[in-house]
Amino acid sequence: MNDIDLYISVLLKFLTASLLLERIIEFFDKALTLIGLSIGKRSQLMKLADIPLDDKEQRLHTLKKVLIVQTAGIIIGTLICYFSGLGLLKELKLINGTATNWWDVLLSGIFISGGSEPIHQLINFLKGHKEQLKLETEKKAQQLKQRNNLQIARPGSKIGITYDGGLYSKQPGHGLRKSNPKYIVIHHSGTSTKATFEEVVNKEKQERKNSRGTYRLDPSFHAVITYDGAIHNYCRWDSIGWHVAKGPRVSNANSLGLCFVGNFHNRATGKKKPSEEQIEAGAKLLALWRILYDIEEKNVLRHSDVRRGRIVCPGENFPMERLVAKSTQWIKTWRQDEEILKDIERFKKLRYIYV
Amino acid sequence: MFKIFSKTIIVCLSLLPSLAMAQTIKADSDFYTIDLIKVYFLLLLFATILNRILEYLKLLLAYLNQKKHFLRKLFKSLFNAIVTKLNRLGIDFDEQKLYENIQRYTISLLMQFLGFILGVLLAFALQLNVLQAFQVLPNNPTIGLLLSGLLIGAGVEPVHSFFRIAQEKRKLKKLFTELQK
Repeated sequence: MNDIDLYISVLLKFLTASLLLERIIEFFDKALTLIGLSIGKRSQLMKLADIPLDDKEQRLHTLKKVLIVQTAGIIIGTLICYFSGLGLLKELKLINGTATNWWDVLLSGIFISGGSEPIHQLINFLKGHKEQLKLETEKKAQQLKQRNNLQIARPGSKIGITYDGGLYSKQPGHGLRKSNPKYIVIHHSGTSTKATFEEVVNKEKQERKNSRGTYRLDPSFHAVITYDGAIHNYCRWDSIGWHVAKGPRVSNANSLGLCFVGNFHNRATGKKKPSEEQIEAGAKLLALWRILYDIEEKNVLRHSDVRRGRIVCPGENFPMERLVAKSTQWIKTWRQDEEILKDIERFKKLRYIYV
Repeated sequence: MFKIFSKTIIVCLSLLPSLAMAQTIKADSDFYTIDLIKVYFLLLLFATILNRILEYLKLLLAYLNQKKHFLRKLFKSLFNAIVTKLNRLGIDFDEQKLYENIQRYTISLLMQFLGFILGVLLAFALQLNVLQAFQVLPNNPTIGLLLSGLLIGAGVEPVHSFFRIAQEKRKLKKLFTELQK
């Protein structure tokens, strides 16, 4: 039984007591009139003879009668509560202990002496709100169910990757591609492993200069994986991101850039490696991209492989072979699962994926 | 006039905190919680009981005043002060009626103050905190208990108004939040 039901049941007990009290008071009122007549009370006899009392006398008479009836109501109500062990606060569990307090009994007596009408109103109030609470709970449960269904229905939910156009879904990066990407280039951010996605974006937004003038890389990578393994979509996948220096085969126009937050190049400060969560998430994303764009394993490259020279990205300590092998393993696993294949088919229909 | 003034004080006392408080309710928080309904119900219940006690005391005072000229000194001093004021303004009046009205309104006002005191005592004794039910921040227990006490003392109608306004405010806030998205 919840609290509202408890309150209603308590009020019903008091309703019974108040109805009993109402009958007693009715009887008491009649008895008072009878006693007044039998002892020959002037005001009662005049009332019987239909002789009007003067204004002041009438007012005082009414006041006195109401006061007597109400005092009797409170006394009888308190007695009913005392002898039946009814305590409003005790019943509502607002005070501890099994013994009934005198002030609890008095409050209960006053409460029932007010008649059944206020108790009815309180019961109706509780019933109304109970109904409303039930409706609200049902509505909320329905909304939650719908939300859960939506989440389940969202493409990529089976493989744990979602995509809705990245950071700038309304603008196509540095222009739309002419054809779908053929290469995937792996980068590191060259920052601390603690860097957030926003910090990486801010770094890419910084202005650079070359012989042709000032430029910004932003949006550069198509996805950034932070140290905790979270995938952050950045540049639209159907658009050109500025993440790679043009090589003989690979360029920004025909490649996707995947960046791992951290600096995995050997330095005086130590040898840093990407976290297992990053590798796991990276392998899944690689697998998805390879399926979506039909990219061969050999076309997944380090940034340093694109153009040989001074580029060290993604660093000597980056486990490239393990990452690619894991992604191949994911592809094999997914191809055996009908549900995942369906999910990927739905993923293919999303906006901003294909040219 | 005096009655209207007294009612306005009660309404303002109950509505102002509700308006201020409702501003701080989180738009996305659930208004309909079982705890809220519990507090709402308990406030109504104690407001009903207190109202009954005050009605009875008012009746008793009115009777005692007719019979024993209870609080005569207070009424006389108030009467004299008002008569002086009216005379200074040159306004004609019926002394008998004026005296009766002063008695009635003074008793009403005294009962209202007594109601507030008893309400606050009840709220503190039973730890009825209306702010806690609304999940309002900062949740100051003393302010919450005082507010609950004042609401109980003010009566059933202000309790309803308080909750109605808080609900409306919350609905409006939610609407604005949705519009801003």
